[in-house]
Amino acid sequence: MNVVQCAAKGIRESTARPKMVVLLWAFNFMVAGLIFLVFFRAFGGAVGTSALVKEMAQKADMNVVVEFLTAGGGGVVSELLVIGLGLSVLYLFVSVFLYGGILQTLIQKGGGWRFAETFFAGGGRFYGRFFRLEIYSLGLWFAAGLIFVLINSVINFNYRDSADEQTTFVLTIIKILFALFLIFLIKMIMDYARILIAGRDSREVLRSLLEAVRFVLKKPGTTLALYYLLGLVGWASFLIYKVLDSAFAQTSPATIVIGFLLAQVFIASRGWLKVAYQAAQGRIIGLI
Amino acid sequence: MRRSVPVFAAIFLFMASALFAALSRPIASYNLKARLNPDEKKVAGSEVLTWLNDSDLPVSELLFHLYLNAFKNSRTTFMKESRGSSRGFKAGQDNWGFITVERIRIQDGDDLTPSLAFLQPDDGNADDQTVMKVDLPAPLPPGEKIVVEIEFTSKLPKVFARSGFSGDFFMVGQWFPKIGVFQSGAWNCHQYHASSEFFADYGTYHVEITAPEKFVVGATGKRTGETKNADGTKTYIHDQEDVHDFAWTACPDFVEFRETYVLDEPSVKTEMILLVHRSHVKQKDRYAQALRNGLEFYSQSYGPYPYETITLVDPAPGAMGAGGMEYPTLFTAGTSVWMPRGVRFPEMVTIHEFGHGYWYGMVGSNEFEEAWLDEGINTYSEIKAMSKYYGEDRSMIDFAGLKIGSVAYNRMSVIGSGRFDPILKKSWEYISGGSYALNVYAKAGLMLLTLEKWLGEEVMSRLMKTYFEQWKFRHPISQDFIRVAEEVSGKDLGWFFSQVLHSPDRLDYAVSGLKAEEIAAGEGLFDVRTIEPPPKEPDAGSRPEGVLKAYRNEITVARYGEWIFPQEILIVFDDGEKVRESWDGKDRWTRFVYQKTAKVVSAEIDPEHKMVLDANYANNSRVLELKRPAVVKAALGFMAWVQGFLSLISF
Ligand SMILES: [Zn+2]
Repeated sequence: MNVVQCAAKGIRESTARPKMVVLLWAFNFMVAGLIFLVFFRAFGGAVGTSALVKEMAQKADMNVVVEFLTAGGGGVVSELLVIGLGLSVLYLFVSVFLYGGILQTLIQKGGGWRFAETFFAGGGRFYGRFFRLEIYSLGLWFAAGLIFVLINSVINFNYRDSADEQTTFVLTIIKILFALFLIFLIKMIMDYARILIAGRDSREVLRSLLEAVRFVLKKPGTTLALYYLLGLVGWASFLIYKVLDSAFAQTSPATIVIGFLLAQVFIASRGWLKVAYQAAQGRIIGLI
Repeated sequence: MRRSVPVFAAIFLFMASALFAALSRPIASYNLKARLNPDEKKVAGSEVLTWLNDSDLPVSELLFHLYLNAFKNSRTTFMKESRGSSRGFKAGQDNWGFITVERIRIQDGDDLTPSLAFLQPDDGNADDQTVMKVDLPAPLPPGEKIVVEIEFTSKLPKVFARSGFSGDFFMVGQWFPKIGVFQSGAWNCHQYHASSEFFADYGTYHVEITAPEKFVVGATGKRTGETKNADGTKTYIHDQEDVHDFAWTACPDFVEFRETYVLDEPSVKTEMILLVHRSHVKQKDRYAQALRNGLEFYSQSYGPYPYETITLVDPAPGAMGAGGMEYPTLFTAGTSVWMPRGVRFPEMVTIHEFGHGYWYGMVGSNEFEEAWLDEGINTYSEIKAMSKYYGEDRSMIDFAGLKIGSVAYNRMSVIGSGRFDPILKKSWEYISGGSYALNVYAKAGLMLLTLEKWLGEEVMSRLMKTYFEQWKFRHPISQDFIRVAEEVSGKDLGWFFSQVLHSPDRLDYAVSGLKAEEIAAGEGLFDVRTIEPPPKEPDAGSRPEGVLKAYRNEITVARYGEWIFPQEILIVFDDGEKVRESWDGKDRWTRFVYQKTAKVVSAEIDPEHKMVLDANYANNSRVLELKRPAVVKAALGFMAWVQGFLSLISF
């Protein structure tokens, strides 16, 4: 099966599991919902009874943003940041669980169990292993950091006397792209490692991680092509969302709600893409 | 009729002399020769200074600024004070800057070199050599001139603060021994500080600059000559009257653009010279348009631009430390290769630095001691110009859906800041460089905008024109500005300036409470009828039940800041009635009570937003009920953003 076929297969598998997509969306919604409550209280308290906010529903007023940012000497905003950070960490723990559920569901095709049972059982079953995998992956992050620093200093050394801003600008862009490449590479290796663990129900987490690295190194073209091909699908859905979102003015309560629902559909599409990634990559490695 | 001819001739002569006379009284005039050695980053210079003792006291010593010595070592006053900004400075043999005076003597007279000594009038730092003194063999009587000849060498520093080199780019400012200002019987000649600029007397400059041929050279004033030399160099001659400084720049990578700018009302004709680094050539039109806007705005708002040239210098990449600096008839702007159209940094810097041609260039206030007079007045002018040409709500940033106007941009820096210093203070006495900048730029600019809204635009416009007209080519102090403001407005403004110039406090008025309570029909026992202020129309006690409801409306306004300003309050009731109240603003709070059949809907203090300096706009108004849809919208938007973020980090 070639890369395009694998990607298509992944998308089909994902599309066939709307319940799972809804569940992924629901987790995201619940965690982020906390921030809604916190923000509502903070923003309402800081500027909510001010007439300044009157036209906020029509257009964003910079003055309101400034007042909010400086409210209570910036205390309101820093409180919000701390809560946001806490929620992000919580969500990372949650997502380790979600991976277990996704993979268990994909692997156990046509089993007699109902979806929810399968999903939650998988999440619980693999949680310990996937969590250990995250810890082992720190080694990969460290290695990637080292490679980046090395490349960076080689570039800086070769262009140390360049007074040409154009070159400096291009080099900065290249560095950013390279850093992103490394980040996505590790994320991809982690996907394969999880698929290997879940697909074989293996308890050897470190060995699976190394095997995933080996697999990616052996087939760099195929794995990268598949990863970025699905990435394009993600970008396409983001663009569609942005176009739709800016197509109508969100000023009345009804349009505000429609805009919010649209955002939820986009978030759901992220879950859908996540499942597609697992299914397609599982297919390429021959385990799903 | 013949008899009348001499009269006409006299009138004509008088008019002609008025027309061609210098605009300023020349006190310090310079004849300079400079030869650039780009490899050694040095300028070999000679100077003939003609100085007039304009005071009524004899002068027995001369004081000079040797600004470049601020970069001589790590213990100069500038370096000690600027620990923060000097981090961008990499020490190294080539990177230090200094100026050596090889010889100083009176023309056809005594050699003064043996008496040369360094003074540290501000802080006594013995490692600081930015002020030089020489003794005269005999005191110079009042009204007399002295001509002094100086041989000097300037080593330029690696650029990080205004002047210096970066690769092949040279910004040569503060580069020659510059005499101080003899004022009120003493020398005003401060050391070069991290947070301070300059002060000098007006005069005439004749400067010959020699540089290798491949360099494109720009300088203060009009080019009056250009000759090729046998050694592969070129000499450029520049002349300018009525200025108090001279700067020049040289770089082989400049692309030169020239354009004649003409304005009909008032009449202005000047040559715009743009020296744009080749890596920024695409942004030449942005610079040019901003400069045209600046010329138009300042000429129309304050007075016609009088010089024959204006030179814009775009510093080389990596030399941003030289950017955003003003010199007479020449200024440096700044940009980078990637600068979206909606990010109007190059426009803002161009208008601001051009504007200094007025507030610093022509109105020569003392930047060491009262920096707000140039930076604050110029920030005020810049805000007005930016708002006029680029839109009030988006003049600074209009990019990717984000819109920030100049006023909001400056307010942001003021309201979020600590309150350590007042606007008026010696530049080096602020707690930090940040506090200096915040006060003399943003706070002073907004202070004048507040004054404008208070006095009205027409009065303020007359005030600024009068101040410019009265003080151009002179050295005003804060008191002079206040005097003009009071004369033109016909108001006592002492209460205003004494607060904003001298106190580090803040202005913050608020509507602190809003209540509408239904007045219940009387229940219980009433012995006296004086509970609360006795109800007026309609009488709460006697109203027919269930026909008309009556409300007791309470609006409380408060002063949270220390500054006191008279205030107006706009109160709106649910039957559409609007009431305006005024308050002297002196007490910490006051309350307005209305007994009405209508309910109060909202109240706003300072409804016209005259108090631009108010530290918190949000508390200036209050509505009876929480604006739920707006808050929900903001919260939903924020939540969607967080959702996207979560899905991104967990992928
Ligand atoms: Zn300035």
